[in-house]
Amino acid sequence: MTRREFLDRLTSCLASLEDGERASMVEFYGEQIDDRMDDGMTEEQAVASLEQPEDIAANILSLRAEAQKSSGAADAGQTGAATAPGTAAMSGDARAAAPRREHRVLRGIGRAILGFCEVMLAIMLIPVALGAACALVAAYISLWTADICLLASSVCFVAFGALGIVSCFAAPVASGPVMVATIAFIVGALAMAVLAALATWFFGKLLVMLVVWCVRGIQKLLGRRKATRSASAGAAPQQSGAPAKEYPSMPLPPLTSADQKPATRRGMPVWGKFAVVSAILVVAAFFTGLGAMTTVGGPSQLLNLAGVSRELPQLDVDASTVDVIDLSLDEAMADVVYSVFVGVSSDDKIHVVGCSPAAAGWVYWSGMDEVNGVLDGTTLKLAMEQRDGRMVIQNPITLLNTLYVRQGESSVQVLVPQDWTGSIVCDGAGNIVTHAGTAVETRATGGEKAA
Amino acid sequence: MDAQLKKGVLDACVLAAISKRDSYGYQIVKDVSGCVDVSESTLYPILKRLEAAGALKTYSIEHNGRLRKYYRITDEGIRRLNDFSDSWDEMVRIHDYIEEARHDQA
Repeated sequence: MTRREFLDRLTSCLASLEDGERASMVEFYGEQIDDRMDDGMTEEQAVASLEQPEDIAANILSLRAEAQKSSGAADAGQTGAATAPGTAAMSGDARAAAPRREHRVLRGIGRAILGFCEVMLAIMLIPVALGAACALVAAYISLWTADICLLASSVCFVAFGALGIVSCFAAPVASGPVMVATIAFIVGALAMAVLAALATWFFGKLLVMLVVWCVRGIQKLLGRRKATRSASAGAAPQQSGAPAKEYPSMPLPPLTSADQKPATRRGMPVWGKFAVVSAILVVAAFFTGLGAMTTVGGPSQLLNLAGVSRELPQLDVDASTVDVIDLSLDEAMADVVYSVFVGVSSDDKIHVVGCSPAAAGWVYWSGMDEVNGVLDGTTLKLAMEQRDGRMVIQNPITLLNTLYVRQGESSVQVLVPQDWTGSIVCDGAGNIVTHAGTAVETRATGGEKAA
Repeated sequence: MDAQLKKGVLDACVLAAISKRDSYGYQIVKDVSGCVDVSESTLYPILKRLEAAGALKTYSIEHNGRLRKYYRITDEGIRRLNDFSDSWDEMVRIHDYIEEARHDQA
């Protein structure tokens, strides 16, 4: 038998011992063989001069079991004396008997105190553990709630996208940039829906895996305890003198072609590709929409459409006291408004309504709901101010091509050229005259007081 | 010799073996085997026990390209050895008593 074989057999025979103790013992016997070989023996002779590994293990385990048995009856800290009564007698351990009895009493008291502390600690720990468990469950439920919110946001984005598609077909007025912005909105919303759906799936998967990991961890922990118990139970007969059983090494199954295949680096998963494409689409849609809206009125128009623009005073003025409506342009609105309606209602109130192509529909301001068949839509915020006793509408006039003035049941349609800059004077009696600029064509649209 | 009695004296024998000079496992076996038959499987637990009790301490020295563990007796070990020697009178009395009883029986 070679040195290696001897030590391997010894190692397997001492399998019931702890790793450190077993390694120390194997190292000791390895050293004994080396010393014998240094003393002139061959390797085989050195190994043969020792006991068989099974006998060594049986002897060691027997002594160990005996020591443990003795330590149960006497002082564990004095294992040597306890395992060798002869030594106790010869080294005068009669003198140590009294202190040992004291130690036993002290140990009994210590154990009682320790037991009491364990009980108290358990009483205190139970509510803490229950609270911690409840907190963990609540946190887990919250995480699932967040996941459901992600799913809901995905559905909302899909709905927004569908709404955008409908608006594309339903909008009576839509310029090119507006259409581009709308399409960008649709694409962005759908891409965000995909992103949210992927996040929902990924987050949900993580939550499920979290539970699986926890369960596996608990199983592993329980399995390890069980194995420790089994090992302790299995070590008992060995400690009583029986040699440790040597288990034959099991041959490994041959490698399959799949095992022999070199590990290849896996590419990005499908969901990852979807996520990347969606993120790119979201960014692209954002900048495309932003650019398109900038061409038709800038970000302020977006704000206007979102209904978050500045609030303007309502143009409900007494027609008898206001004779001139000065329509001057505000560059910021030049691309937004392309027609404004001015009317005087039966209660002598002047109403102004504007519409914008960017709004994808009719837009009107003031509480007037019927001005030349104005449709519903988002409120258009027009800057109004009173200047020298006149109400001034600061709107682009260059794009105005139609102006309606109405009093009571009558109204006058004023056709304004694209490049017209001037004022329209209303005398409060329904008569309209051009105040400045080039002449405009007026046309009665109904009633008796057409200009 | 009775196994229990042998165990008792082996501690003292091992301590005596390393009290002359620091020694290593194989040398201790050879030294102690001069008076009491001892094997490595008996020696190892004794060394461990004495080390745990502070009666000896270990150190390693490189020897032929490997580390060899040496054992050195401590003050506690010397005290134990002295205790064993001091109890010799008691041992003699026990021996005489046993011999006397044996002769009476004969």
